[in-house]
Amino acid sequence: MKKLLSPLLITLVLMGCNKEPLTALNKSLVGVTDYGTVDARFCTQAPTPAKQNLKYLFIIDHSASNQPGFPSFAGDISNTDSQGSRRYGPLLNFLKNLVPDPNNLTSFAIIDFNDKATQPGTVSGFDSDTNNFINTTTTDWIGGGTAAVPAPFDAGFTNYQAALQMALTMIRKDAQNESAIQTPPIVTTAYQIIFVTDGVPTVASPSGSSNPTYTQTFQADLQPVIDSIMNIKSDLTLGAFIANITLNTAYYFNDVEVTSAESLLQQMAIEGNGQYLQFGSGKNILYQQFAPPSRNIRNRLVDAFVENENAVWWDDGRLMLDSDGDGLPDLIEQQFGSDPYNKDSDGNGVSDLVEYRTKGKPCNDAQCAAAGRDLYAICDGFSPVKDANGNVTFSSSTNDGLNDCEKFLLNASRTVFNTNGDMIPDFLALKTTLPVIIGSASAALADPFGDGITNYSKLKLGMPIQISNRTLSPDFQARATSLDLESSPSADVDCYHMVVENVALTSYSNTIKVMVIQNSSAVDDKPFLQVAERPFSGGQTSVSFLPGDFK
Amino acid sequence: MRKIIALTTLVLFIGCSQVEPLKPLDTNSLAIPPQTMSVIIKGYRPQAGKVFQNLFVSNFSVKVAQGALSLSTSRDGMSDTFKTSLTSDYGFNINSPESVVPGFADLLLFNIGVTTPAQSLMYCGSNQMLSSSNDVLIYNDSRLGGTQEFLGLRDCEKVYMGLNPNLFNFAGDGIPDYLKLRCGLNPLNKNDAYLSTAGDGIANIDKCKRNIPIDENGYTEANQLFAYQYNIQANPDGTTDFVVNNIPILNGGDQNFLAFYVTETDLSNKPAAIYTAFSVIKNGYANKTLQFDYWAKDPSNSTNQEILAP
Repeated sequence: MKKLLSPLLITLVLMGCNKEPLTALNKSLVGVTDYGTVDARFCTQAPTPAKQNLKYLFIIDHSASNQPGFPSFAGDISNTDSQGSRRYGPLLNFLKNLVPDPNNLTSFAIIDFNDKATQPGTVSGFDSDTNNFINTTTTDWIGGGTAAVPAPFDAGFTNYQAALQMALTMIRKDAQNESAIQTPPIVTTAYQIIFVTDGVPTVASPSGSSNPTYTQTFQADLQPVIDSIMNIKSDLTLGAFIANITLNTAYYFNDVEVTSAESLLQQMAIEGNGQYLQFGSGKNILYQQFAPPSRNIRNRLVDAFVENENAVWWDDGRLMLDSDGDGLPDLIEQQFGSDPYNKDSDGNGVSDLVEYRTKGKPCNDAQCAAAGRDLYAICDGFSPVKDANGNVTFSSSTNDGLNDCEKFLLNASRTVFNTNGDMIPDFLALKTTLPVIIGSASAALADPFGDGITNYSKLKLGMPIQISNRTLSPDFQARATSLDLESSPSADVDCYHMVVENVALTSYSNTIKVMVIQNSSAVDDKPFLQVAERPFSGGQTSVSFLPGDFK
Repeated sequence: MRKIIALTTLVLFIGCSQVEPLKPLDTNSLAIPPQTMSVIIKGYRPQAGKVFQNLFVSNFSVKVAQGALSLSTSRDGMSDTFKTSLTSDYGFNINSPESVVPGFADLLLFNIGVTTPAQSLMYCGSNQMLSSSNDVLIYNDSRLGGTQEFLGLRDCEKVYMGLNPNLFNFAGDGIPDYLKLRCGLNPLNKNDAYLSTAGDGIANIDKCKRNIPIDENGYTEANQLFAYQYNIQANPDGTTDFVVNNIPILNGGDQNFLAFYVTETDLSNKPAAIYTAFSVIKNGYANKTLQFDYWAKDPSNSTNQEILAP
């Protein structure tokens, strides 16, 4: 009745006034019955201490050049560290002076290397008990105070490759352990390798070689191992448990620097995303210079989206009512026989829109009967829960509106709200016909109709993405957004007042969802989403959100 | 309620007169036009095999926030009042961009939340104090008795941030890493430059170029008054002149620090080269133009060039 009446009224009015353009009629064709204002206040999340495991891996040179009378190059008469006091003294100091670690987030491991690499002590892998590790280090140095001849027992060649190879094995094994024992929320680990040496990697040649010794080169012998270490972070399973891996190198010498050692260690540090430091003239190695300081994660506003959950721009350029907010309009649901008041008509845990988009219909069964539904056996691993009526639900690891099974079916990430990085939450992208899969971020900035408005801008302006702006009714009012910075409780928090006018409304229900996206300002790049929902209740022309609404 | 609106519309239509609704009062509507200057860079030509990507001109002495200009004595992207408010937690001082930890910019320490107790652990190795990617400005600050100051990201800072010290634009999005940090964007993120965080339809990169905040409406009267205007003029000899108007200055321009960055891509549209220059201008530049020849005509001498302001 209302639909009939309003065009009629406007037509009558227009007849009496020929100055007014006729375009007003189109308004009803677009499907927009009214416009409302969304007024939202929100703040960025206060900085949180960066919580992560920190694992130190000390790799210590035990080659003969530490010993008296062993020239590390022609003409050298001095030894670099016969007592181990340059290597072990400051290491013990460093360990004893570390800030208290009540949450037990820091662990340690040590590798000694000469011809080959070995891990001293009783613990294999990383040791989370600082005192135990101090004992290990002390024993490695002076034999626990009981040995007749103080260690370190320095002898043999300088096999960098073996040491790095062992580091690779240890870190990979440790990350595997973490992935096996951790449950969400995951605490990531930063691996801090500190590689300490006094010279170039000279090793004995393989038997049969004319030259008795061979010096390992960066490109042939070391770079591949370092790359393997760094690549653990790219591992599909282990990567999620690793914050970063850094290989730091320290070169200690007495009077003469060996430039080839220096440049090699520099190259290693660059490849390993770490620092190179040198400690000449008998100086002690200062391990604290490699220690990453504790920091806070400061968050910044990246984007904010406003969406009417009960309105869908359909492919023909009409705004349609979507009573259940599943993204599939009532009219389309009626055509397919699904329930416009139930997001998941057949109760199989996968919403009507996701089924429609992945296989062309919201249910397997023509009447959307539960008996004929597709139970998606492929999602059995995501722990489906069956209620008393036999309806299946899946849990969601993200808050963008898609559950884990839906994400899997869409080839989207189950752990991030925005798989392709374009900052448009996956469910919103799916609803507005934008792609979600990895590598598709540029689609948001494309302008497929050449109308000068990118898909992203159309989304922000509240316009349909499926049609050209030229075919949209000129009567349609695009949204106008205004964002202002307001006074904030502290310098680390930014508070905003956002007003979005001309949010298109449908004739019945209108629930507004505001999605605020923040990201850390530097070092990390992990955007996160906060969501608030509020309905327009009858007759209201605006709906307001306060900071506490955002979850 | 809706019926009432419909009725009102009806009345309006009958009267055949449309009343423009009153716009809400803008908190910035009393903005005072700032003193501004212009810059003309004459005779730009991209290096062989490269394509012009972006020009950034920025008065580092002026910070725009919440509809007002404020002075940044340290020229590091934080206003004096803001830095002073951080002094108790971070120990900052307004005179230097690296006032607490040698080699680490105050701006970075604030963004990564390294407060005074943790600062002693920040260490920049002597071999990482410089910038391998050439996107930095180093100058002697006459105000501080000629101390050397550094505006940019040193290699150790880039390493700390997870960036590549050999690249000036890690994300490949057209904004050098240091300017991303200054503009409130994440240098690791590939997509935030082309979003419109404020929802006003102006891409963040365009606000960054115009030196107005990315997280505030760009159409307020104040931000319209403060936004730089970039123009390009083609010359008959195939070179280009860049004309940048409406650059707000403070103190009549006295000790205002203008920074210039030109970036070029290779033919596959990857960031390939950056050319940097700066000029410390004097009092009396209001409504004046600083005109100079493009500084990087000689590619071997194209970064950190000082333009002497007459």
